[in-house]
Amino acid sequence: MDKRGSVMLSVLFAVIFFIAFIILINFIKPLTSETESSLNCSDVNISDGNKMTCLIINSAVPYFIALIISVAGGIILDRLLT
Amino acid sequence: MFISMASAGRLVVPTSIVNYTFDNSSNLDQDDTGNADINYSEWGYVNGKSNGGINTNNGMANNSYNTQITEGGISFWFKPSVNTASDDIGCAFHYDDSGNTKGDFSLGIQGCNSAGSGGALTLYFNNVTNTQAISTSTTNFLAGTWYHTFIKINSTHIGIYIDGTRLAIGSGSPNQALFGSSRLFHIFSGASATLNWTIDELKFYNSEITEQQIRDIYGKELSEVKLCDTSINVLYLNFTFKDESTLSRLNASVNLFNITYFGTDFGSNKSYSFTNLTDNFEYSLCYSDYADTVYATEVIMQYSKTGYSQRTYNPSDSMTLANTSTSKQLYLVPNSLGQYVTFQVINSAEQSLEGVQINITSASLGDIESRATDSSGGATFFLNPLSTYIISASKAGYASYTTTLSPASTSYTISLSATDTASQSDYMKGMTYLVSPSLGSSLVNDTTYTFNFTIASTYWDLDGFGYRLYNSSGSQIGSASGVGSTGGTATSNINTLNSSHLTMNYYWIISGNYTNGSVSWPIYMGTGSSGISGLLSNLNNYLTNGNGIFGLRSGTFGFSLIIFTIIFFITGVINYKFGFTSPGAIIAVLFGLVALFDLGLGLMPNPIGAVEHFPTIFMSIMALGILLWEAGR
Repeated sequence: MDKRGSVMLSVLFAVIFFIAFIILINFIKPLTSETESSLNCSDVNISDGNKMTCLIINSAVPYFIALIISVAGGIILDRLLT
Repeated sequence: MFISMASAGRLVVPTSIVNYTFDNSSNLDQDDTGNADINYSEWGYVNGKSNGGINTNNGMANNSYNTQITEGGISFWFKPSVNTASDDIGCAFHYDDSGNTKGDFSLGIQGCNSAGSGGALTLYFNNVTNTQAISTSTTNFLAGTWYHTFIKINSTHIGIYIDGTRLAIGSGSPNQALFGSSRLFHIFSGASATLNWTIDELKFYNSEITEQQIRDIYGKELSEVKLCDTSINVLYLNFTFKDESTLSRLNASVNLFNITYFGTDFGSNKSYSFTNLTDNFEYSLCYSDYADTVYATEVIMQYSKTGYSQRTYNPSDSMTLANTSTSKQLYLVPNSLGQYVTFQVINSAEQSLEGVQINITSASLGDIESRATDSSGGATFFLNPLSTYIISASKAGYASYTTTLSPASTSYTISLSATDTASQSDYMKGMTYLVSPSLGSSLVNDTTYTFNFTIASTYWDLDGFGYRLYNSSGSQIGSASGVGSTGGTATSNINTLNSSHLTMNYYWIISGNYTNGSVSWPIYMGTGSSGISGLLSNLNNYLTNGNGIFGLRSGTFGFSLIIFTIIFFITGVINYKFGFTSPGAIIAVLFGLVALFDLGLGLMPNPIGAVEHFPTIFMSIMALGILLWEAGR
C-alpha cells in the first residue's frame, strides 16, 4: 500500500474512532450533570474540596473531547509524518 | 388498624397578624388579634364561608392600618353576587391616601378604578418605579361560589392565588412606603347593592409564606368534617334513629360524637366533636364543597332519649366516606323493655382482656351497639332480652368469637384463645405498580413532566390510590389520586421548578389501611452546565462569591501573584521548548496569555479600575511597540 492509501486508511480509522467515542459523550453528560446536582455546585458555600471536585467534573467533558480529537488527529498525523 | 399517613415535614403556617372572622355581628371589634375596629355601618352581616361573613352591599369602610407587609400576604374568601364575566362587582381593597379614588394598591373585578378588566381578578399597585397590574387567567368567577384568594408579597414579586393555585404573578413589589400609617386601608366596596362581594376570613401575614403553606391555608379552611350548614353542605354521613321494638322513627340527643379522619389531599389526621342534648330527627355530617374521599379511622356516637337508655356506636372498622353519602340507622330500646347486659372477656388463663371489640348486631336490623372492653375486660350494653342478637368479640392475636343469643341474663363471659401466629394482612399481595417517569430518568429543572402512578390489584379491592410529589425542601408540589377497586392510573402534570430532586410518595388504601412507598429523581439544572462554559462559570462564581477556593478569591494579592506566576511560567516553558529568543515572539506569547486570563477567563486582576481590561490594553500597546521596533531594526 502506498503512502496515500496508508493516509486514507488512517483517516478512515480516525473518523470511526471519533464517531464511536463522541457517542459516549451522551452517556457522560448525564453523569456529570447528576454529579453536579448532587454536589450542589451552584452553591458558593460548599467546601473547597467540593468546589475543586465540581471544577474537575466540569472539565470532564471538554477533556474527553480534547482526548478524542488528539487521538484521532494523532492517528492521521502519524501516517502523514512517517 | 391502619398505617397513619406520615407527615411530609411541612412548615407550620405562620400566625396571621390580622384575623377578621366577621362572626360576631354585634361587636365592632372583629379582629381576633386586637387590631382596630372597622366601621361596618354600610355592610350587611350574612352567612360566610365559616360561620358569619360580610356583604359589601355597595358600602365602603376605612381603617387606618399601620402594618407593613414586606413579605407575606393577604388571605380571604370571597363570593361574587353575579358571574364576573358579565357584570362589574367592583373592588375588594384600596390602599391609598384619599377617599375611594385611584388606589396605590387595589384589588378588584371590573371597575375597581385602575384595576379590573374582563371578569378577571386584577391587582393594581405602585412599586418604587412605576405602576403594575396583574390579572388572573380566570375571567369568570361564578355567582354564589366561594373562592379562596391569597395575595403573596415579597421583595421581588407579587402573585395572586385562587384556591391554592397561582393564577397571576408580576415582578416588583408594592412600594412599602404605601403601607404606612398615613395611608387609609379601605376594605371592600361593591359596585352596587346587587353587584357586590361577600367576604370572610380576612387575614394578613407578615412573614414568608410558601406556596405549600398557601395551599395549606386554603385546605385548612376548607377540608373538614362537621355538622352540615350552609357553608359546608356536601353530605357525607347521616345518622337517624328508630325504636328497636316498634321500628318507629325517633328524635334523639347526642351525648358525645367524635370522628377522627384523614383525606387524600391533606397529610394529617383531623378530628371533630360535638354534643347536642336536644332531641333531633337526624344528625348530618358534611365535608364542605370539596369533593374528596374521607377515611374515618374512628367514629364514636353516644346517643340517647328520654325514656331510652344511652347506647354507643363505635365500630372497629374504618369508614370510607364520600359525597355519595353514608346513612347509618341507630336503634334505641325503651327502658321498660331493656336491661343492662355485661360481657366479660377473658383469655384461656382466665385473665381479663382489655381492648376486645364487641359488636352487637341484629340479623334484621344490622348494627345495634359496639364498643371495646375496658381495663376490667368488660363492656356493658343495653339490650332487649326478648330480642335475638349476634354477639361477636375480636382482638388481634386471638381467635374471634361469635354467638347468637337473647340476653335473658345480665352478664355473660366470653373466653378467647390466643392464635399461634398473629394474623396480619399482606397488603402487597397481588399488587403490581409502576411509576413514571421511570427510575433513572433524567429530569431537567423548570420543566413540566407527566407523573404517573399505575397500580393493578388482583387480590384486594382498593379503596383508593395516588401519590404526592415533594421537592428537595420537603414541600408538596403536586398530587394525584384515583379510584377503582382493581387499580388504575393516577396522573398529573407537574413542573420540576428549581428543586435538586423530587420524591414521590405513592400509596394505596385497602379497607382503611394505608400502604405507601417512595421513589426519587435527581433534577438536572438545565443544559449548558457541563463543558467549558460551566467550568468557567463555576470557577468565576467560586472566586468571586463566597469564601473563594482554599482562601483564594479574585482580586486578592495571593491570587494575583498566582496568575502572574502562571503567565511567566508558561511563557518561559514555551520559549524554552520552541527556542523563541526574539523579543517580538516573547511579547506575543505574553500578550496571548494576558488576553486569555483577562478577556477569556476574567481572572486577571485589574489595577486600574477605571479602564476595563487594562492589562490586555497595556500588553497590546507593548506588543505593538516591540513588533514595530523589531520590524524597524
